[in-house]
Amino acid sequence: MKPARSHELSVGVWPVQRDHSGAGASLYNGIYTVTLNGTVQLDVIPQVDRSPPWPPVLPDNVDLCTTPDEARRITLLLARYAITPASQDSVEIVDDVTIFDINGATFAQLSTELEVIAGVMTGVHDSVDFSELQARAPVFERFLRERFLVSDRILPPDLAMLGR
Amino acid sequence: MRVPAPKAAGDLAPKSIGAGEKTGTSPDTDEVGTAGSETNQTNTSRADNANIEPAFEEKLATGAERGLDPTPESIRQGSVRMEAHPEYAKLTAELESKGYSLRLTDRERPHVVVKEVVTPTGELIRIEKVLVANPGMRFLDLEHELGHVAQLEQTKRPLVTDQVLENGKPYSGPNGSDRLTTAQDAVLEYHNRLVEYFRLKERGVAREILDKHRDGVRTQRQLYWKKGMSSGRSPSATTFVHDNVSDLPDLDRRFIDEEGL
Repeated sequence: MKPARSHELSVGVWPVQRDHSGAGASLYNGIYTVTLNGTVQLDVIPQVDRSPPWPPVLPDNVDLCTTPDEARRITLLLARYAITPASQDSVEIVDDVTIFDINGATFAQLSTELEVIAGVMTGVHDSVDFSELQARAPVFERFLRERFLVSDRILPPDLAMLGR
Repeated sequence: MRVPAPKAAGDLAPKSIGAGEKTGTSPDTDEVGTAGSETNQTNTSRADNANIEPAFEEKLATGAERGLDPTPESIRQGSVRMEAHPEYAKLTAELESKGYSLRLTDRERPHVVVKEVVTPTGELIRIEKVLVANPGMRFLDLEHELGHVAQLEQTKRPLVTDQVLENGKPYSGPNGSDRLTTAQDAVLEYHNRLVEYFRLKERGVAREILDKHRDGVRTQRQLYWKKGMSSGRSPSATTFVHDNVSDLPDLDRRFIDEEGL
């Protein structure tokens, strides 16, 4: 098993569209998987269509995803933790997914920051140090520090990997 | 719960990995339990926890698993610091013979890098292979990373972890080798943890070491099933398992038989 990191939290930011090829890749544009300490993942997902059926249901074959809305719903359902834009800050539990809703303006800033960081990631294991975020991604750093890392929704095994 | 989760080993048999379950089930472990009091799993909203721990950064500075001084027992279990294990020199030599260099650093978590350096049009310039380890970490954690080396050396199609240009910037064009995806990473990590768990169990390591690894398998199993296998709804993921870690369903079944969910 991978030992926890000895110095500080590592933060990987991976654009999900790079996990897909061809025309299907663009469906995942704007979705990022953030990996903390190499193990704890939260997915950042732009506006999710919440029209019925809600909660959504996975399609029989996720490889045949055809629309951005479907890609976002699939990503949400397969997440453990997710961040989505909403009218106000709150936490929502959908099935076993903890969704951190953040207001739309903040989400837009956060997405812009993640796009920049993701632009220098060379692979799914690549990461930056948490301490770098304050300068490079202050909105995201604040979200992690003030909402995610102190949330009582973080599962015990993930708490251990985060050093809490 | 609308996302099917594996409830038993049979759900992970090769033919059923892709099929998945069509009805909702609850998660297969009690990991939905949280550190706080929130246990409601229905579609509800609530206010955020407003408590901010000002000193949380200090808590993040957790110590990695440092190896023990060499004794016959720490060497037998693999809990000895890796450099003091009798097999260390041999294993690092084998690593070099496979084209990997060993990078010892406290600045990164242990991991394996297979980096493809390409031209702007995706033509291969060279491959750089590195095993990143922490000085003084346990020998058994080195064995874990060597497990990833074995995985990456045995994939049906060449698989790299990183793709870069000569200037170090990422290459994200359509050419070059297959690059490890988040889903494939979840599958390979789960497979490696299963292999490692049974290795340690058969070795007879200390109870606390085995318990921690058992918990690690269970935690990763959730990520494997959701992120790796798309809850059984991804034929391409099923193919990846079949082609590259075909013993995974059997290992998963054995784990459930011996340890339970």
